[in-house]
Amino acid sequence: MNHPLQRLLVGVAAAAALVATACSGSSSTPSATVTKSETQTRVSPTVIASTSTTAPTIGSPTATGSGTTGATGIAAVRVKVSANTASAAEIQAALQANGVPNPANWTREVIEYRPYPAEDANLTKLRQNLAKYNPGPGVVNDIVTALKP
Amino acid sequence: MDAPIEGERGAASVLRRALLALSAIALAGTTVELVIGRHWDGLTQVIPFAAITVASIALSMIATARSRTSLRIAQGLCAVVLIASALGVWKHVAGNEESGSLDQRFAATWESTPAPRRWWLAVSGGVGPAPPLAPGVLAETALMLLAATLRHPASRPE
Repeated sequence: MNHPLQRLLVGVAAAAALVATACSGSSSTPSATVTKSETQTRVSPTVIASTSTTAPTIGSPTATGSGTTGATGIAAVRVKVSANTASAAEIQAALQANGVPNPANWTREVIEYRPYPAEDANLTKLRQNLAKYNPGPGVVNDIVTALKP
Repeated sequence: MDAPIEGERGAASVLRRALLALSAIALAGTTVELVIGRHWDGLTQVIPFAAITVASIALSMIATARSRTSLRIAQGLCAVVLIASALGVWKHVAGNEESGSLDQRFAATWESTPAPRRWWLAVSGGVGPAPPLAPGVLAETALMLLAATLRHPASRPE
């Protein structure tokens, strides 16, 4: 043990153990940080999307919304317009705000298949009719998300 | 001389009844098809039901006609059904053409696609949800009914 080489080996082993402990301890901390970061990343787009959704329908008599507060403190309002009673302009604005491609043409189809059962919040009738047009993936969901019966 | 004429009249009568029977079957089948497809979203989608009603009235009038006036009215009703059928074909094809931009296969290119290509896709069922020539079955029925009025006994001069 008194050999310098032995001392060096012991020292290296102790240092390695210390580093390993430090790394294992720090590995949990970044993990928590990543999770927090991911949460923020998920929240932020929702806030932005929700905020932009409100823009075209502000002042609309048929638009209703519920206020929530996001992680950054920005008020997030998700607004749905009525597929049964909203005007074409209101529906088109809601679809556009929800990122639906060709909102004007989809608005025409939404109006064409009126009326929709008031008790069907999922707008099944609309979904079935829109699916016949072979829309892109997610388009029908984006449309229905912007509407209520 | 009378026997061949009578035979011809008998054959014409059989053919007339056959045309009326085929028309009735076509009208019943079309009604079932429309009901199954829930073809009643909006006023324009109710038009074929009205056309079927008109064609049914025409069929009854031809089957029971005793005067030329009845036949003329029935022929007029058949003309109305023909027009409704043509309108239906146009509505289906135009609807398909309008919906091309909603189809994920054509969404990016539909507006720049040449008009003849777009209309061909709409007519041939390549795009859109509506069966383009399905309303034509009403035109076929109307033509069968019109054929049933040819040499109809009630059309002979008194």
